[in-house]
Amino acid sequence: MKAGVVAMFKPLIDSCPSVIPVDYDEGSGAYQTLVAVAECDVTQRVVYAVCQLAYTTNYQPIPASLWFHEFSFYIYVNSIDGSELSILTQDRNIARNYIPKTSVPLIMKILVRSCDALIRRVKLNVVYRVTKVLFPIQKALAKHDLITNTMYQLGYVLLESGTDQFGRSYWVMTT
Amino acid sequence: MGVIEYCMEVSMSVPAKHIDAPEKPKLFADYVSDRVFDGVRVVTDPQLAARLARLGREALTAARNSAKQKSEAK
Repeated sequence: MKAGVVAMFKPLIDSCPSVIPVDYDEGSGAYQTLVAVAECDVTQRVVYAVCQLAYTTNYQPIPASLWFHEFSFYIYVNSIDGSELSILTQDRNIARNYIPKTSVPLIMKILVRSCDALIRRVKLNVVYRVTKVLFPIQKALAKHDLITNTMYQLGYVLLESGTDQFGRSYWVMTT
Repeated sequence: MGVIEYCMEVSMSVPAKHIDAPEKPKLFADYVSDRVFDGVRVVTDPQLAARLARLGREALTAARNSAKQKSEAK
């Protein structure tokens, strides 16, 4: 981007898609959803809300569960023409730079619908989730509360939750 | 690399930290420290970049089609 030019991200959608396709990657064994949220009107960059379910093995003492799929979400900024770096972030303060204010409430809805689509498609026994931030305040847990409620509605119960050795809140839910 | 060295490296580097492709499947313990300390991951792995780009194109097309349909319906 040229010096002095300010990138402006404008919304691509004004409502959450009713159907969110789930993609499976054989290489990593991960299931993902991507929803295009915004685009830059100066650079060729598009902003996506990405949700992922990936199988993992836990060698940490906390959580106690050893095997599970982890549900995680990111903001992905893709530079279509390669003139900028394409990035993934879970940091809300960084993500805020790429999401138009009017699109912020949509992110929560996309997150919940993506979680629903992923869980219905993959039908897992154990799902783990962890906060990005350490010792999160209640406001930072809002999206996690939404996800927890979505999973309750899908028939999951809380198997384990708490704070791990890094200070992150986590949840392990099972059917 | 230990957590302390990792922190030092991150604090001394530019905000965007380049992380290469994980071996598949990446183990939980391998990326716990990444997740705790880094804010941005630059997509450098060609396979990941290609996959995200493909999914991104599909999602972008879906978003544009949806916007077009809404605009035509008005």
